[in-house]
Amino acid sequence: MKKSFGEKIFDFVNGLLLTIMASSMIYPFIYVLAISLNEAADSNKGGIFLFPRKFTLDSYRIVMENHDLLNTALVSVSRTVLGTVLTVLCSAMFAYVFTKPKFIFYKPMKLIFFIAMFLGGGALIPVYMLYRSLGLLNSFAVYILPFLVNLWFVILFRTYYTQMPKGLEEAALVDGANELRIFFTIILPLSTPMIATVGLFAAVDQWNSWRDTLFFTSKDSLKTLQFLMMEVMQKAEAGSMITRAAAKMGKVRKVRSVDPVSVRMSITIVTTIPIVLVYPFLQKYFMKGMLIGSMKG
Amino acid sequence: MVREQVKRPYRHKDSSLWTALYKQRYLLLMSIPFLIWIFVFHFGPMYGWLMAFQNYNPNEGVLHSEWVGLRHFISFFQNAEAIRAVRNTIAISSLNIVAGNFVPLILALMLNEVHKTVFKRTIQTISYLPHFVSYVVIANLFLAILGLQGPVNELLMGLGLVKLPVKFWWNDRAFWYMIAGINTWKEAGWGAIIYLAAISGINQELYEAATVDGCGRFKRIWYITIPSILPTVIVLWILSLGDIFNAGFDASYLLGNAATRNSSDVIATYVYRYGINMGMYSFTTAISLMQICIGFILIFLSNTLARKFTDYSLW
Repeated sequence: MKKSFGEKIFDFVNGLLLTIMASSMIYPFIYVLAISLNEAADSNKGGIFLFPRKFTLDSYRIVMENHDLLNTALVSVSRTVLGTVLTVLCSAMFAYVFTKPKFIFYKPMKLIFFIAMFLGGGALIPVYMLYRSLGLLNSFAVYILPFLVNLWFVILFRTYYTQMPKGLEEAALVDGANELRIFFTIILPLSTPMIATVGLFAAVDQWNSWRDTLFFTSKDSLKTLQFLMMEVMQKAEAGSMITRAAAKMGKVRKVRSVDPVSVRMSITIVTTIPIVLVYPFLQKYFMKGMLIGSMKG
Repeated sequence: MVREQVKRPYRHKDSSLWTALYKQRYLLLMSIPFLIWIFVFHFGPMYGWLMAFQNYNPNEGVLHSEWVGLRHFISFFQNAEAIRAVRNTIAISSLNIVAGNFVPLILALMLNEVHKTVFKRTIQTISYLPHFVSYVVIANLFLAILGLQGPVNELLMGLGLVKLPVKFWWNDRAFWYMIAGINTWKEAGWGAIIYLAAISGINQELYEAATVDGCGRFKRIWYITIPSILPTVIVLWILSLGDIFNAGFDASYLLGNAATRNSSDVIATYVYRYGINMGMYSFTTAISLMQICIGFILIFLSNTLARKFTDYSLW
């Protein structure tokens, strides 16, 4: 079918508007990337919009060689890996129990689940006091234990299970396999798309989290990358401390090539890169996962 | 039955329950750790709500602290700063809800009109990026591009629109709108997914029939796409009302400063500042408790509304 002139104009304007919109979404990242790759003294003269003018990797060198920074990155990576694996596994397993209406505790469990979903958590101080009495303050466990099960992920998994063909599971039951075994050998391997979706959500949540560091820890050894970035952002002295230390160590050729701003921008890019490397490839999974989740709560 | 009992008189009376439990022992094994976890991490904080009715002393615990009844709730209404936090919360979240519902819908309608798959997919992928990065990164980006030396100010000055750089982040009046704008920018692409799904469920024959009848693109959007997804739209908009008492900690904490405190301080930041930093445990718990109760009522009301006007509800 041939397009009319009006249709062509419509398509053109629509495409143009979408391009502008998408550009506005990616532009801030490009600008920050350019600043992080530019010599700091030169950046201060202004005029940088898309590309670095005097290219340098000095600010990244500082970020990579700073011990505090390496430690925070390690904390971030460990909580992301451990937290994601445990959250996915526990949520998947709990959701499986919810596909068994014949289970004698099914109904009370459902009630408990919904009360927890709508009323649990929320108030900061009671949570703080609870963690205090559990000894979670200032411990790595505060990054993991509270997130072992995510009730929203449970709903996602449960909806996914109910759409799975029942045949295999029933055959295994007849053969005398128990539910635990069925879960690990049949249900879990068949849930790869959902694991990918939930895994991405959980990993992003863990990687991006910084409020728990602010609320519940005060030790330097528990700082995450996001938290450190927040500190550098809020307290200029944190940034200048890093640059001064680097200059002292002789890691930077000219102190003028970096300043707190360029270091901050490099940390921003460093924390964003893992996300950019992962989510586009899981797109088809999480779009499907979102739909399953939105169909029925 | 009788013969059974005679045969095995030593059996427990409600043996059926125990047999069922034994049969389901693996399910039991799988659920008990989670139930314990839920009780600790979701019901544990509810016990702490009692602090709202006490002068809580951390050394004495909830059991031995002095009870003061509703005193903290009453003093909340006499506290101008706390009321200001509530006002800012409602203002920011209302703007979030309006813009955050409208923009993704428009984006979905526009994306639906694109027929080049690669272009469409590229736009979508880019539009998810802000959703996946942390608010710290987002705050960093916007502090940079809207900063005094940032590209936006350079552009404005280069065009001669302003003489001095605009102090975006020190403008008390603009703060609500800037936060709502950034939140919408962050979540627009993600929010569009659900509308696109609703659109993809529309019967294509409707469009063909409309084209035969001489409808252009705008008319097809107006008379077919929008009415078809209207139920979804209404449900999402009603359900989002439950969030009106929830403005989020991140935006205000990261982007607010002394100059914008008057419009940036929300309940979440207020509770953090006075609760954890200054140790006013009971008073801030009372505020949180009110927030939770109102939030719960709102979710309940909006769900009832959704059920009344559409056939969809959360439960």
